[in-house]
Amino acid sequence: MKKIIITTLILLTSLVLYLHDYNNKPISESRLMMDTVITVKAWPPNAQSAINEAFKVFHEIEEALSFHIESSELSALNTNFQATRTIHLDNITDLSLKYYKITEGYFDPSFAIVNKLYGFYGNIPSQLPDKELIKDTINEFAGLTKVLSFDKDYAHLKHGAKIDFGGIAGGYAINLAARAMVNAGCHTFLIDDAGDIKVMGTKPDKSEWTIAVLNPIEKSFLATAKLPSAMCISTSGNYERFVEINGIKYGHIMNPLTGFPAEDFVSVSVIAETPEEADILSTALFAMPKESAYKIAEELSLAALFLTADKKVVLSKKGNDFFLLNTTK
Amino acid sequence: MQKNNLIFIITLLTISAVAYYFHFKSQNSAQYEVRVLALNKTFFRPSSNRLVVKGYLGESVITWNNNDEVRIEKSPCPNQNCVRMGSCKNIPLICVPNGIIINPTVQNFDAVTGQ
Repeated sequence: MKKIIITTLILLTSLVLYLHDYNNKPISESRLMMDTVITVKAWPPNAQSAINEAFKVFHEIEEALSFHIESSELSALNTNFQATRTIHLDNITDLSLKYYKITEGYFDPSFAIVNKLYGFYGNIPSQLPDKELIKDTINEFAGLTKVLSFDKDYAHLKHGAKIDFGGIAGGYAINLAARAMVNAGCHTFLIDDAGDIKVMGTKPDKSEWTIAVLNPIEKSFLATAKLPSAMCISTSGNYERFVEINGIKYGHIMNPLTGFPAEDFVSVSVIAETPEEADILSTALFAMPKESAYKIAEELSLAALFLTADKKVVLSKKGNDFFLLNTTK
Repeated sequence: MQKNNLIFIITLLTISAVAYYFHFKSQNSAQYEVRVLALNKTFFRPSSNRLVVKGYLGESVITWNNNDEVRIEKSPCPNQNCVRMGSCKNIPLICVPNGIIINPTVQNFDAVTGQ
């Protein structure tokens, strides 16, 4: 009898431990959406249903704000220069206008018209546009506050202008997806939209959220970032989206003052409380000349990590609290 | 306690301890693994180190070298950015036009930014 009791106790303990372990394992899913790969990783409870909810949000945002989908609200604005105001269009234009002002125009979704001149949208073969054409195009069609206006029911775009929310839509979608996951009853997760990342909650093993920052030149890790719960990180660079003209690569993030690809940095990473802020500010800082970027990062008290074109690594003051540089080669 | 019972308990405890040791060891050792996702199917590294997967546009050829680095060797995509990325380890490789995701399990990190 004793043997049976002991055996049963041991087996029950094993079962409890196994189930506890099983319930603490995350589920991860990657999908190609919004012209990139999106990965959502979630821990129980409700991990799978929360992941499904997150991808529903990404799908909804893609349908509403894609530059390439003809039926999107943004395409209506870009094609007809007028679109019915919707929640997503209102939210994203509000955020864009806010950060257009904060960054003094370095974050400017209306700069799509200049990117188009280089052939970034596949509309024409890649080419180096004439300087005068760039200048005239900027004067006429760039500047978000200049080309975008609203009345009670409609958003209006200046005829001939184009808007691309690529520098903010990912962050916006992450924010909404995170809310959807919490509403679905999942409180520990990571959402990764091509390097725009939000973490939430405490993992079962209590370990810190650790994000590696890539050094795109050496294909190694530049640094690691330790993120507290609910924080976000985003990295912008010109090494992935570019056009090649006469053997020279031209990146997609433009300096709005010159109309030429920004070239002071290889990458800029920003940690912020919201994914939109991290997404926008990493892009805006990347577009700036070095001195302006360092100054703005300090003024806004941002945790930022810069990899300059001459391969120097620079951390903002607050960056020291979050980034740990990789000193091994 | 009878000698037989003592042996029985010790045997059970030993088996449990050994089982848990291997279980937790396998959990905590960060095993390097690369998953290839194409058209909602998941593929793993084959013993031949050469994987041909079908995407939206056609077949992509993915190869591994002896250093566990993976690359997209051939792709039907128009811009060939994925091929130009060359060999990578620990870093995701993506071919958006052909719908191919090469996702490594990144040791010690929850995610990678800046890829």
